[in-house]
Amino acid sequence: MAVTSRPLGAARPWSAPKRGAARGDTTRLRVLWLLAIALMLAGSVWGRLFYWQVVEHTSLSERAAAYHLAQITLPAVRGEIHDRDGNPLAINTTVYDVTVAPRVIAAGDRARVADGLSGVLDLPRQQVMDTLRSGKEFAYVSRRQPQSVADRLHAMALPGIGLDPRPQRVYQPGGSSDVTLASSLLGFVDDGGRGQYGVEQRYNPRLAGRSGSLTTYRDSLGREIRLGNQRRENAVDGADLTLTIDSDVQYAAEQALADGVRGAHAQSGSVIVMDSKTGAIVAWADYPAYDANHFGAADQGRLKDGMVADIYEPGSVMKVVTLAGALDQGKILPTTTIVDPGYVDVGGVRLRDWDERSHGTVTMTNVLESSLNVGAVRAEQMEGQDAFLHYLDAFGIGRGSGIDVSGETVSKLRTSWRPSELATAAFGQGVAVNVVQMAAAVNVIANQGRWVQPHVVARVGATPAPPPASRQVVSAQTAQTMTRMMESVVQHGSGYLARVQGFELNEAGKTGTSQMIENRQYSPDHVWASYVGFLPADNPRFTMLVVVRQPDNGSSDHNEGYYVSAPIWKRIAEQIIQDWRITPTAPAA
Amino acid sequence: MVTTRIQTSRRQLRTGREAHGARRRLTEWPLVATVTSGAAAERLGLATFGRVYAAAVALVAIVIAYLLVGAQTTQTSYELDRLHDQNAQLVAEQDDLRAQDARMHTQAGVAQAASAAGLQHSNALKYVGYQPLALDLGAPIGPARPEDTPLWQRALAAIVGGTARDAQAAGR
Repeated sequence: MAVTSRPLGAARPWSAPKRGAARGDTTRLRVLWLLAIALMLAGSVWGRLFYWQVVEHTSLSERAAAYHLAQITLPAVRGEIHDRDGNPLAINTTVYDVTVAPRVIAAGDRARVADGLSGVLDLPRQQVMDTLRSGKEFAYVSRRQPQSVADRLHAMALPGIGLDPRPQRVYQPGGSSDVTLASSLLGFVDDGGRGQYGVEQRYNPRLAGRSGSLTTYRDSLGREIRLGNQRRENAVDGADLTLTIDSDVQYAAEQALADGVRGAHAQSGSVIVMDSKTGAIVAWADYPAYDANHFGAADQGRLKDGMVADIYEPGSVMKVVTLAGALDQGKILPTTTIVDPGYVDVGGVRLRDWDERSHGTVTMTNVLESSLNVGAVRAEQMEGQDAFLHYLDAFGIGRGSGIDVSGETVSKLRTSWRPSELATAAFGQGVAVNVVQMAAAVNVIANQGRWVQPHVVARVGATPAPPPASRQVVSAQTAQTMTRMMESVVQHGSGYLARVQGFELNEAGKTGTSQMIENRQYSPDHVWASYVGFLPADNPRFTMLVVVRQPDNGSSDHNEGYYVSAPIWKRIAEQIIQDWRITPTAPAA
Repeated sequence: MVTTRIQTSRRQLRTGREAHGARRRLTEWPLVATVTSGAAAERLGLATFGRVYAAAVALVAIVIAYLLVGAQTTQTSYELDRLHDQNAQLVAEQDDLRAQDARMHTQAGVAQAASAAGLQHSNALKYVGYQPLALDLGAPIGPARPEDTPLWQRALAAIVGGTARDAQAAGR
């Protein structure tokens, strides 16, 4: 059976008939128009998308990140400061800034919130009410409130109140009611967490540590959402500092100094106590000082540490340096005699003894006992200029003590000297030192002729501080001889008010009184009164220097070092003897 | 001309190939196969869109699971946040107590407490000057021991001088 077939298209009635060329072009044109319009619409959409997705990508990403992502600073915990026995001197606590969101608090709650805040924070109610009515989103009500206040506010559960924790440095109470312990030595930490003055400033990089950061998501209420993709850099806490300070001695020194300065109607005073053998600072007291817990309210002039920041002319304490140099050079002996008419003319200038009287023939020991300027000048002249200047430098006069406290001021020695200037320098006028320099210089005698660098930091974290620098200045024999002469000052001379019972025969010291420079001239009335000594003389445990600025006891005699500073020295020494269990030894036969 | 028989065989042939291919594909997707294998499913057109539906369902399930996990994580992070705040508060309280304790043990704190209790400083400590001791450190302490030395040794000691024990020791 054959299968036939024919083309289907021609027979289909619904197949499109042939159209003319003009009609076909119109249709094509319409299609093209539609296509163009569609392309334009699509192009505008795609273009806009391109604009938002590509052109504005960076800024939009940043805005989104700013909204959702938060970079939280992870604060490092500041290292604490302890004394030699581990007692805290500076520790950290938390205080709270009290904040309020006035917009969140309903009008009906304002009175209750104002009552609560004003009662707890001791603020005027109207002031709090004004803040609540301000319509602000955020406002501080009070700053740096202690934990007890925060606890009370927390318990009240007031609406719209926030407690923003902040670290706070806390210092221990000092020797008088309005100061903290060793405030001038320690300095303080400001509101920005930076150490200011003293040890806090000097060791700020080690104490502060390094803050970390955390980048994380936050919800609309600012709460952290841990959805991964966190970038965290942990904080490195600061290292603890262990100082060489003895808190008990420090407290006793502050008390004695405050009483002494107030009793002498003086302007200010300083006490430094150092371990004779190591140069470690045991006590470091200034009066007046300040309350480091409320440094913002302190007199700005008290913030700097007068112990290292101020320089003074040491006066007769310098005779220890002068005579030690001459002894070491072999130019004098303790028994060397001179004739002291009460004055000496040097370079056309007449220099007088403190009492302006003739003393006849005196030994060098007498010169030290009675603090005779003429004798000191003679010793300097016998020693010679070069040797004298060499010993000044070797004892640390004119160069920094190198102590690890910020803000040390050093007066360099002049390069050219007139004979009269050398002569006055022999008894401590015309040269300027800071208290630390002078204490370290006299400590050379206590430490068998060896200068040792004073220092206050014993350990940083677990790492012991490097051993202090030291140098031999005079021979041990010279130091021993000088010690005998200084013992004589206590036993027979101007140091009698510093005698400590039980140690009268085993105590070395020297008084000093120097005129202050006012308006480029030496003041006839205003003086620095000082006393330096060490104890026990045959095996020194500590060296202490007391300097009182501008005492005003009514007479010049009662403004001198022996009268003003020696009793302060004695009182502190008695406390150290008790604390350190120093026992008197039998005198040498 | 195409006869009915030829058309039938062609239909059978086509249906057989399609059914075989569908079966082969359905065996690769057993879940889909159960949905699409029936005649009803074929009528509903699920055979064509079954995979899309299944993929969509799976996708929705994954999204829901992700959201559930995310919500749980968020809730946990809130809890962690709360615990973190609580820990910080406890640490702050601990620091505060430590500061109070340190303050109480300073010399100033002790002096203040003593003053509040009405205590006063006693007289200043006095030192005495060095002098030889008035005590005989060589003297025996306590009651004398009973004399048990033989009489002859005591007599000998009386003659030669010294104590009986000295003599005894010398004898050795």
